[in-house]
Amino acid sequence: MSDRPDIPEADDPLLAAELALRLLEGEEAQAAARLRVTDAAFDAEVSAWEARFAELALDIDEVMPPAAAKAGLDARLFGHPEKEQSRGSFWPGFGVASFVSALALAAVLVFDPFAPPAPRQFGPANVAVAELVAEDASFQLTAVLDHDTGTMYLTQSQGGAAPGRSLQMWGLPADGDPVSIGVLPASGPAEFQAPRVLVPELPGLIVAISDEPEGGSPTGQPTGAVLAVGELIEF
Amino acid sequence: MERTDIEEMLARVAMGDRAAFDGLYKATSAKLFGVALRVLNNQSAAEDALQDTFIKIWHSADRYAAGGHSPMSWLITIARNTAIDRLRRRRDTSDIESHGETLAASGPSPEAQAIHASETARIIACMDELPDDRRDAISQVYLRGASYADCAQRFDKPLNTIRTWLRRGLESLRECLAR
Repeated sequence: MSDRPDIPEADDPLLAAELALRLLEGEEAQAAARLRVTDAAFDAEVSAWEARFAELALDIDEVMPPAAAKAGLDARLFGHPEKEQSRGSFWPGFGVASFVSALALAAVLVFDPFAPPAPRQFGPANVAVAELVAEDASFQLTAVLDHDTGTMYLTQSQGGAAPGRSLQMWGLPADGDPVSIGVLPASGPAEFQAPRVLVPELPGLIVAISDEPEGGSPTGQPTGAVLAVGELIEF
Repeated sequence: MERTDIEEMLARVAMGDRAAFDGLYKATSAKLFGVALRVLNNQSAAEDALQDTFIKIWHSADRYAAGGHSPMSWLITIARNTAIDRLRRRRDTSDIESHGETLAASGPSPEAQAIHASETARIIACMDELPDDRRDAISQVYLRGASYADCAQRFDKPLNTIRTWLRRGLESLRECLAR
């Protein structure tokens, strides 16, 4: 938010309420989401506000959804090809074409940021891309998600883990704790399968890179500094 | 439908039990669809958001911590945030769909009303202590998914003015809840 220069702070007692209400947008929302990863007390405070505000929704009238909504849901989740075919299976099998296209897009993004948009023959919106750049630009990583396979391709173009440390990638679901996507190799590209719980959050998922002990966080939650945060945006 | 029934269904959904998932859908989809409709004000977008919501529930039921917040609060939070994601995506892409017809409402179920009546009473009581305009603004933010930027546009006021004004309401709410 350009007309508000100050970045939210963890000790702002209203920030958790603002985040729970989703009042913030853009960089501020991302900064607050980052706090939620690194500050367990703040995370608990946001959850508490969410639960309180949810009480306001108890007054909302119940409306029976049409039966087609459940059929479509089952088709998306469990794949009943006879129903809702037009929608496409939510999680089809491995697609070689999109695998190649994801790699091609990753190459374009990493090696030539001024290249023209990728040609459309790869098919519409098969990949989502997140650019994760540290505030001081000392760290830079591009993540490309192939929707069809749920595979995430990571390319570090700047910076890396300190000696004896590892970098770990996290997905930040809209509701709940960060979920580990994988520990980055010391150098070179990486490839991860998006965890099952994150699948419904894709795209639009906020992803973050944190500094962790060698081999990754011992607790299953981020323990070190968050280097960069980005959002997977449909390409 | 008792709180513990929904918790038990969530626990079984977390283990991939489709019958429990169907039961949970039957028990809660009307409420969650109502939430999505309120935020999106559009029938087909709300149906999509409802599906997204239950896909999230299927995949993340194991993240619901039983015994903490009420399961209905947890489900409503997912439904509301999912609908807001869709609302903002739609707004950002200027993909305005025609508004669907409004469906007949069946009203909140006794079960829903009974769930955590005390918590409800508390936040409702604290909301009632706010000046009318601020109370309305905060409930609109919650129920319609408006951001500070949306509010600034709607009231034709600078964003910082709106933010300061709404934060004053949140501060009063916080103080009241802490009492």
